[in-house]
Parts: sequence; structure tokens; C-alpha cells
Amino acid sequence: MSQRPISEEILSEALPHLIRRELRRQTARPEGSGCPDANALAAFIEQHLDRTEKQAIVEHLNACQPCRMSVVFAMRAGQAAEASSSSRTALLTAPARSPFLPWGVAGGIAAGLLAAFVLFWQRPPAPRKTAALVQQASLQMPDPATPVQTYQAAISPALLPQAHRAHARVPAQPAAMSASAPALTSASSALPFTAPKSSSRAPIRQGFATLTPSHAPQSSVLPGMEVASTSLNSDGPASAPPQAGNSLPAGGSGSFAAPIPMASSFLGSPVMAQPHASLVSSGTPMSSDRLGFSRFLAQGSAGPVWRISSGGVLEHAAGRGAWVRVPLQAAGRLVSLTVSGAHLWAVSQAGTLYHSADAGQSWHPVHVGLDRHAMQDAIVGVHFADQQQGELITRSGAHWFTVDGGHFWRPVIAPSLTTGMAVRH
Amino acid sequence: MLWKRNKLRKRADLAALYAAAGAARYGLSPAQFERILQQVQMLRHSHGGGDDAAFFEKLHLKELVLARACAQGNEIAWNDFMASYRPMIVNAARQLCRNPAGADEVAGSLYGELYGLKEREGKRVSLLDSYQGSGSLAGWLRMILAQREVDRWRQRRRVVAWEDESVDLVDPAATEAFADGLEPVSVLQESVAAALQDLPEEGRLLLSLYYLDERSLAEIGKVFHVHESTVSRRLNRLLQETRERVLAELCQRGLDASAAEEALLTDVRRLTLDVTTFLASTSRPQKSARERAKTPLPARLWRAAGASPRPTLGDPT
Repeated sequence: MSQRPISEEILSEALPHLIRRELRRQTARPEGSGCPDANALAAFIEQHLDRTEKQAIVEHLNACQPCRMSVVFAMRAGQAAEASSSSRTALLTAPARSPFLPWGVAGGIAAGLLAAFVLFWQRPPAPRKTAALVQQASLQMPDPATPVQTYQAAISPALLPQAHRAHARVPAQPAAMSASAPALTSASSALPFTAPKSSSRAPIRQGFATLTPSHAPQSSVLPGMEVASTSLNSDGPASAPPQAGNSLPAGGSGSFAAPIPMASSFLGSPVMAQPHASLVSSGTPMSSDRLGFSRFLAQGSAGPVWRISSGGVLEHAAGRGAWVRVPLQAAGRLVSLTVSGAHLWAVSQAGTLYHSADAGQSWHPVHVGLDRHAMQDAIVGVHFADQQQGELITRSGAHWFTVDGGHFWRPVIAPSLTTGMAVRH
Repeated sequence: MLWKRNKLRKRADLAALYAAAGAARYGLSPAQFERILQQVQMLRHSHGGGDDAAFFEKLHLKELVLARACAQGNEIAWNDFMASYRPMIVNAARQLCRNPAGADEVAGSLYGELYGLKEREGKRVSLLDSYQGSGSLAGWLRMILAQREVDRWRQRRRVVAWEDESVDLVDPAATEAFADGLEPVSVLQESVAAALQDLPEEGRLLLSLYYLDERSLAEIGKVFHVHESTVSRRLNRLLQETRERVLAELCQRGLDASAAEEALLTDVRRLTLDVTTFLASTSRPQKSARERAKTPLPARLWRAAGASPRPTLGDPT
């Protein structure tokens, strides 16, 4: 026969009394018998005892009420001092939930989505789009009736971001000049030059065309662009790419407010040096010679003029003299040239950059890379705004720039003043 | 060679401890510092011993040196001590005494003992000589203050020793209720004693602090360095374990449910009656336990407790 269990209610009611009574009986001991001193109790409170010592103290406290009271009183006395410092109890309590936590999480998620969107937006475009986007950029020949203050490749600001993404290799050259242009730039053959509108934002300089100093590019369309004065080198000789059929408007009047900007020859770029006022006013046409090259003269300068022939050979002519070949055997065929005073930089077809500091008398290859690591990509074009600041572009569309005359180069990905492509600064 | 190497290493360790303690600031020589460490080490060994290196690492050396320098009357040490610990002593005293006058009295008496106003055999006797560095100096001072306050409190309250009352709670006459020789109340008491004995020491300390000392959960949490909610959970768990053990003991000792309940109820009523009797008799001279057992309890007190008086208990003949 099973026994009926004891009533829980009765047991619960009686249990506290029973416990209290039994504890009284068990803990009764003569006062001061074997009580630990203040050192031990203080160490017990501060948890500086090992396990054995702590167990002994606990056993004593179980049996000694005065010591228990001392411990509690000491804890009470230390409450004010410990309230400001973090105690162990704080570690065991549930951490307070910050009211800003949900906002922080939401902000982190939003930042992650934004970063993903930006990365997706900045990805390299498909090759087919590159040519199409480049074709959309238009370059128009300057209006001969108006003082040509600049030759600029006009790129619609709306197209600029696309152009950046497309890493357009060139800004184009006039259709008439595209006959002998390499295939790389064939897609850009329909890009004319346009004269800047005084009231509008200055179009972004495309390729290595130049701007007048008085009309500093206002293009604030792209972040990171250099609004540089392009103050250009007034004594820089001009050079021209091997282009056929190019002819500048002859005649015209007007003066050029600024010194002739230094021009660069960039493969496929709308290489145009600002014609000399005197030449224009004198009606000297700038026409192609029988070899299909154009001759450009520096402003009022009797200094040498540089060019790259159709065979990729560097030539120079002093004033109106004959073109003289400049030996640069190690370089082979040249595809790009930029001149600033006595400094010349040329790019070979193999993608190597060469530099001459003595007007072409001696040349040496330029190391482009980071620290000891040379850049592996082939260089296809170079431009120097002055003798110190220069930029080059590689076959893959990467841009590198220098501010010390070509001694040190570093890659960039912010929009470039020259090419309108994304370069990093 | 080994003992020489150990000696050299010991010298190096001692020099490092001397530098770490900053004893030079108070004019303590390395020899004096070593004597202090030896004294502390002897006291420690008398309590159990252990690894010396680990022991010295845990010591509060700076505070130990400060305390001993104060005990020797070093003025610089006293200046540092008063600047660092005087506010703490005053605050602790006020926290304990709850009134400014009492707090000042406690703090003032403590200053005198710490400074060593008394002399023994021509030598100053300072309470700071008893500080051993096992805990912080601030904690040691708070414990000294707490012990002083407990002594004052007990003298004021004239606390009656608990053991005098516990014996009276069990009425020997109640054992006659059962003819088979079982003493249900005694059995109940033994069951509870056995149940509490099986609890861990920390559990019993928790129950003592809560039921005997009537401390709050927060205060108990401070002692155990846990949150009061943890104390509450542990307390409930202990009560549950005690309840189960008591039931198991009662069954093991042959009490059925009815008898156990009867014993519990009787015991509770007896507790209530005893308290009432005690309160009613506080103005009269205390009777001994034997005298109280012989005196029958008035019937009205039984009725007040909700029980019917038994013929064997209290009914006047």
C-alpha cells in the first residue's frame, strides 16, 4: 500500500522555522573561539585566499555569528568605496542593452550595402561598351572665326562616369586623322575638338590636349580632378603624332591669351598644339606634308619641334628646318612622346618609357613601379604637364603619375584631368 | 653549489621585492624589509604553508611596508597614510555607525590604536603591526572597523546567546503522543539536522546569513560576490534540496505522511507558542528550561495557535 505524500503546504510552512532552529543549534559556539583575524577575513572578502583557506573561513562563518556580522559590516563599509569602481558583481549582471544598438546594426548593414553597390558600380566594363562610349565623346575642331583659346575634347559630363568605367583609352582624334592611327584608336576616330564655351563648365581635357592657363578647367564633374592651371610650358615644342589628313584651319585672327601650351603626342590622342598666333595671322596653313604628317610650331619659338614619324621614329626640326631623325635604337618604334623644355619622354611600342634631359641627346629607360617591383603592364602613352608632374597610361588602362620628374611613379585611380578617366590619387 | 645558487637567487628576489615595495622611501633597510617578510611568512606557515614564491607575489608589499613604517613612527609614512586612508576610514565609520558622532568616536579610537599610543616594554604597540599584507590595507582597516562595530552593537543590544533558546523549543512532553516509542518531533529535528549537514558549506553559510542573521539578498550577494538574483536562485535551490532531504529522512525513519505532518504542525505551533510565551515573560525573571517544561501552558494560548489542547499538554489538572 503506497503511502500518502506529506502535504507540500505544511512542509513549506514549517521548513523555514526548522532550518532557523537547526542552524542556531549547529552554529552555537563560544565567542572568540578560533575566530580568524582581520587579515584573513579581509582577504576572504577580497577573494585573495586559495581554495583551502577559503573553505576554512566559510566553515568558521557557518558556526560564528559575530564573524558573519563582521564580514557583512565590512562589506557594507566598503560599498561606498567600491561603488565607483567596477566590481565582480557587475561582471555577473546582465549587460545593459544599449538603446542605440538596433541603429548601429542598421547602420552597419546600410554601410555594407552601400560599399557593395559602389564596388559593383566601379567594376571594369565589358570591352564592347568601351568603344561605344568612346565614340560618344565628341571632339570638334575649333571655330576658326573665334580666337581659339583652347583645344579641348568635349566630353559630355553625363558621359564622363561611363567613360571612366570604360577606361577609354583615348580620347579620340578627329576622323580625318584616323587613317594611320593604330587600331587601338580606330574606334575613337569620330571625335572632333570643340572650343570651350565661356559660360559653361570647361569640358574635361581629353587625351593630352591642352588647356589655356587663363581658362583653368572648371570641370568639377569628377571628383579628384586636378583643377590645375595647366600652365603650361611656354617653351615646349610641339609635336604631332603620325596622323594624316589633319589640317588646322588656316588664317583667322585673334590672339592667344596664353602661351602656347606644351603639347604631347599621345597615341591616338587629338594631338593638337595651339597654333601660333603669328602663324595663324600670317595665314600660314598647317597642312599635312606629303608624308601625311602635320607640322606644328611652337609659339614664337625658334626651338626644335619634335614629332614621331609614321615609322615610329623620333624626329626633330629646328624652327622651319628639315626633320632630323633622333636615334633611339634601344627603344624601337615609338608610340608616344611628350616634351617639356629640354626634357623629353617617349614610349616605345614595347611599352617602355624613356627619358631625355638634354633635348634628346641621351636617353635612358625609366623604371615605373612600386619600390623594386616594376610595373608589368605595357605603357601606351605619357604626358607631362611640366618638368615634374607627369602621367602615363598603360595598356590595361591603369594610370600612373609622378611629381618629381619621373623618378617615382605611383598608380592612381581618380578622374584624370588629361584623360578624363578614373585615376586614384 | 646548489644552495649557493639558491641563496643568490633568493637575494636577487629579495632585492626585487624591496625595490617593488618602495621601502627605501620610508627609511626601511633591506634587512628590516627581510625581517618583515620573514614574520609574515612564519604566520602564514603556521596556518598551512604553501609555495613561498607565489605567496610573496600575492602580498600587497607596498601597503605592508607603509603599515610597518607607520608602526615605527616614520613621519613620511604617516603623511602618506593619512593622505590615502583617512577619508576612507571616515567614510567607512559613517557607513557603519549611521550617525556622525558615533562615526567620529570609532574613527578616533582607531587612529589611536593605529598610531600606537600604548607602549609595551618601552616599545610602541601599534595595530598596524598586525597587518600582514594578504589583503589590501583598506580592506583590513574596514574589517577592523566592522569588528569594532559588532562588539559595540552586541554590548548595546545585550544579545542573548542563541543556544539558550534552542533547547527550549522542543517540549519533552510532546514525545508522549506516540505510544510506539517514536518521537516525531525529535525525528523531525534529526531529519532537518541531517539535511542541513549534507549541504555544502557555502550553502549553509547562505542559509545562516538569510535565516539567522536576516541579511538582505543584496548583502548576501556582496559576501559571495554574486548578484542578488543569483543569491535568490541559490536560496530557492537550497530550500528545495533541504525539503527533499527532510522528506527522505522522515520516510527513512519510519514516519508516514500523517505522522510527519502532525509533527510539523505541532512543531510550528510550538514555535509560535514559545515565541509568544517568551515575549509575554520578558519582564519576568527567566525560568530555566526544566522549570518551563513543568509549567503547563494555558489553554488560551493553544487556541490562539489554532490547535486544540491535548490532555497531556498544559491542561491543569
